[in-house]
Amino acid sequence: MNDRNIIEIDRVTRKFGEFTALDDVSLQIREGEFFSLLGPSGCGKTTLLRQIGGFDDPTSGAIRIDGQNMTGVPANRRPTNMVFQSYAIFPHLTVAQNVAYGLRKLRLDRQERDRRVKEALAQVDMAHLGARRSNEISGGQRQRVALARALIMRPKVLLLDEPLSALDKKLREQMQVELRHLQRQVGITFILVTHDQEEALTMSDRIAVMFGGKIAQCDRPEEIYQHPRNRVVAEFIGGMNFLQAAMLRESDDMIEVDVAGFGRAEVRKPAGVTYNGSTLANGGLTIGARPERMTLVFDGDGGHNRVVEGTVVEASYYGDMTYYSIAIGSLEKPIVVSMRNTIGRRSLAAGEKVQVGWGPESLVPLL
Amino acid sequence: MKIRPLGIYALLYLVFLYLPVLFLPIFSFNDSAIVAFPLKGFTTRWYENLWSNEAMQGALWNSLEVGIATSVISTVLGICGARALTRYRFPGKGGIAALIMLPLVLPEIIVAISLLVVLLQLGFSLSLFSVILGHILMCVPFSIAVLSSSFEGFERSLEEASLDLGEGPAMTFFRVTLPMVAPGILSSLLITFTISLDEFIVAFFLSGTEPTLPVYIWSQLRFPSRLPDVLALGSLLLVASFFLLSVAEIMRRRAARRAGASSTGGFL
Repeated sequence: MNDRNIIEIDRVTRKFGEFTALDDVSLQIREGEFFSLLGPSGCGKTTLLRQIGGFDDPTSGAIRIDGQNMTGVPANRRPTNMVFQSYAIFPHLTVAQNVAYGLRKLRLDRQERDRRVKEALAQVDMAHLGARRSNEISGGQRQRVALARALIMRPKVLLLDEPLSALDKKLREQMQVELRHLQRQVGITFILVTHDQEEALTMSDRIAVMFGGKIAQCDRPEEIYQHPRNRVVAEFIGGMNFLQAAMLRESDDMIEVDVAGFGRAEVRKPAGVTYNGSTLANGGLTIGARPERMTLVFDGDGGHNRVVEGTVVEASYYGDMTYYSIAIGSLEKPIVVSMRNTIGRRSLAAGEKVQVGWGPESLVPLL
Repeated sequence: MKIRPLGIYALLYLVFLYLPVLFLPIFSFNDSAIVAFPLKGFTTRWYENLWSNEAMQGALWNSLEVGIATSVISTVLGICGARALTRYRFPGKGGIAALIMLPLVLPEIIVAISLLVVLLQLGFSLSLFSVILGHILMCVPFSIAVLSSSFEGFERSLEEASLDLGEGPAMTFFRVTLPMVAPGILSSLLITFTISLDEFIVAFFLSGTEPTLPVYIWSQLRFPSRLPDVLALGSLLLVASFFLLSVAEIMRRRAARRAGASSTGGFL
């Protein structure tokens, strides 16, 4: 990966009649990056991917790939290849013929062509299945064929439209690892469209979270998870408690807040934001707190130096984790705190009194 | 062995359906001008007669001409219709589909008479051309029914994948679209050709002085001595129809399988 932009999306808008699928989207994707477009269905992520691939044109704005303006360039003349959601394996061709499909234009001699097909199939662990008819292979294998068929073209950018959504959970997790590994190996820029936040977090170098045709936040997975910009992003990715706070003081990169039910803390300010006291005086600030960024203090066990008193309302057991709903005196809604079920941890029952440990690093101010 | 009522029913049904048809080839090899049991002996005389019968051959060529024109034109129309009905959504689609398919169930004689009236009113003289028009009307619904099963499961992303892999629209059509629907097209050609070849009523009303094969056969029935010739001709027609329709059904199933649809609910 380097800092050169392979794709520049410049103020792209796409309207379907009255409906705006993409609303003035600008985005840069770096060469060699594993980039994910993440969002709920209908957020415009697939439309954006299809625009990059050349299957749809912007109503306004431009897309540049490797410095070239792609306006009016059809899909067959773009340096991109796509893995379709349905895989779109040609049913009248064998696996090897599918993989070789795009090579016709290169006019390779037969040996070179066969060598490349073999190499591409080996890359996705399908070397032994080249002669199979394409209706004789499983869903996971179809996905590998679709990958090999696209990668053999040596595209500058590989586009993946929800490639794992049709697979069952175990296979999906395995393919996530393989896909990431393959991307590092070939060094091609991958753009993945997904609605699965876990998938985006584990695979990507960077993620753009999209809502309603706009990019809500674009950043590294850790930043997206630990410092979601606003409530929508925070809600879409992982679990989050939302707390009301009043702002007491603002400095260059920190703010001091008084969080309802918890108390005072100095927290990091969202990048590029300046609060001026007037907007905050009315309504205050929403603060997010991830369940695992707080602790339960009992039997003398806990990490944080600040505690608030609470009562367990409900416990949801997930095997490795238990999620506790805890009512805190002055708060309307109980908050959720998760606890890892390590050796020696006992479970808490509803009605038990407990202390919740927290600190400034538990809290994220949201826009 | 236990007697199964349904088995007996099935057997009787098949006998009723096919036994009379089997008499045709049997008598066509019978060495007697009178069509009756007991059989006299084996002969290929009647088939040899056909070989030298110029009127029959004229009728055969007429039928081939009409059949080929009908099958090509109705299949082209069928491709357009089937693609439109399976791919696009437009207002009045259900009604349009019903109207196109209606000739399947209209009494042929009604269709034939109304066509005759209209053509004469418009000042057309009756010829093979008017037979072709009538046959197209009857064959398009069959063509659409056959082609729909190969267009139905056709995934649009297949064409997109071909574009994505560097082929232009024309090569995409030849490398993806055509191979996918080719068996369906072939099936439609064969079925419509066979229907046209065997069709009598419309051809009878509209053929004027140029008889098609079934019309010729009917005209020969007035001469008892020619009956064995007709039986021989009928047998050949039977074999040809059976063969063409079998190939057509195999093709249709292959097309449906290629397109990813299940091949159950066969049309034939």
